[in-house]
Amino acid sequence: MAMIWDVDLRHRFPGSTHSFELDMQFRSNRRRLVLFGPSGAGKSLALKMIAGLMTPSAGHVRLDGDALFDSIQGVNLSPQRRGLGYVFQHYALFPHLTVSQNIAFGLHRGLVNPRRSVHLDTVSRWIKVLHLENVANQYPEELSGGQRQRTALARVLVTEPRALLLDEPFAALDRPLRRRLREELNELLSRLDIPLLLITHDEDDVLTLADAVIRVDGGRAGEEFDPANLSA
Amino acid sequence: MEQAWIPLALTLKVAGWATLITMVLGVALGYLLARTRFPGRDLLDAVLTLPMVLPPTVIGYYLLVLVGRNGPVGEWLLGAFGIHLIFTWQGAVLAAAIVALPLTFKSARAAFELVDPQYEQAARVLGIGEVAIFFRVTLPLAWRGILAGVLLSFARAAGEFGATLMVAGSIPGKTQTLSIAVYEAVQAGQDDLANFLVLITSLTCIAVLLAAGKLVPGRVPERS
Repeated sequence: MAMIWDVDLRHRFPGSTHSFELDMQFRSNRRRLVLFGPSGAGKSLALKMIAGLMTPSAGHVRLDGDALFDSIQGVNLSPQRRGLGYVFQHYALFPHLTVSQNIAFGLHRGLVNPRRSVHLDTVSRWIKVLHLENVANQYPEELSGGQRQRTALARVLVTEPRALLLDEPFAALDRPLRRRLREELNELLSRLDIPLLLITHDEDDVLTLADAVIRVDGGRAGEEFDPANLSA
Repeated sequence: MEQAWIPLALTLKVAGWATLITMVLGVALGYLLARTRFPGRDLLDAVLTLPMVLPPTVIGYYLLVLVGRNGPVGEWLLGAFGIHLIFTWQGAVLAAAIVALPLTFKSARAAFELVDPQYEQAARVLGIGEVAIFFRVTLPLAWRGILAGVLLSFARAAGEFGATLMVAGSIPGKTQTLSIAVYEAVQAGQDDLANFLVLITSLTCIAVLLAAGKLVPGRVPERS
């Protein structure tokens, strides 16, 4: 049976003083996988390569057995065609669009943005699920950290992604907020049937959200292990 | 003061067309220079900036050589389309557009460089194609900075003198714009006309600068 994740990324980033070498392999069949490691370990680079925003010089990315990237077979799907839901560390909400417009963005084809009065059933449903009714017509700069995160989640979930990629989802938030939002996200994820790949340097993220952990350091990935053994 | 309104109307027509052309060209070039890397990028930037530093008469001379009856571009235009630019208002548009272009593409480039590429990446993973990303994300976020440059280039085009005179001459009602009309009025000793022309020119430019000043600080999109 095909693994959910089968990832092999190799890339060399030349630097003036020292170069960084990404040489990361992992395979996993767990629904909620967390890559855990210090900043600068190469987690974000790996996530960008999985999403297709960067191209490694060699390796492959397979999701449920489908090749999204394979340097030997010459497969390299554009980020548009990978169907992944990527939530950026700082959320990257479009500052010129309201919450509703941001959420409708990926559903709306063509050269113009959805209008402020946009009304789509799926958008309304996610606005409701993520408790954004009161801010639906506001702009991102008017939102609290938690509302921004929920908007970013709604924006990707509405496109029905094959997998959810979260880049340090709580790093942009104040510490007291983090615990509450982590619980919220945990609750949301338990209602979704989408594989999750999350990268973090925060042990609490691992303990609350992970089914399985892979430690990442110096551009390399270790063996998958159980979150309960994190401090061991 | 009847004689003043004709050059004013002509100036607005010439500057308007020149601004429209530089806006399309300047946005395209600014985007190219801000978002792509290719050999000769710095050279292209330098060449496009030349009209800002060269004397307008030198620009005018270049244009005469290029689009004049015997110039390579002029010969082609005449042969293929029957278009003759020298001593026409369209020639004045060309001269004004070339001189104003650096202002538009420089501010467009700066405005595009201020747009965090992460917004474009976010749109990409949401399945939006590159052309749509330009019109739905990049351009709206850079728009204020571009518009400020467009207004400045309108003011610059409206005030163009040297290159316009070389290429289009000073034909009253046809190519005699405000700045040229001022020169002619002073030469002819028509002080009242000159005063009036100078006044409306100054007022037009102040209005444009005020509008540009309101736009220049722009709302820089915040990251978080």
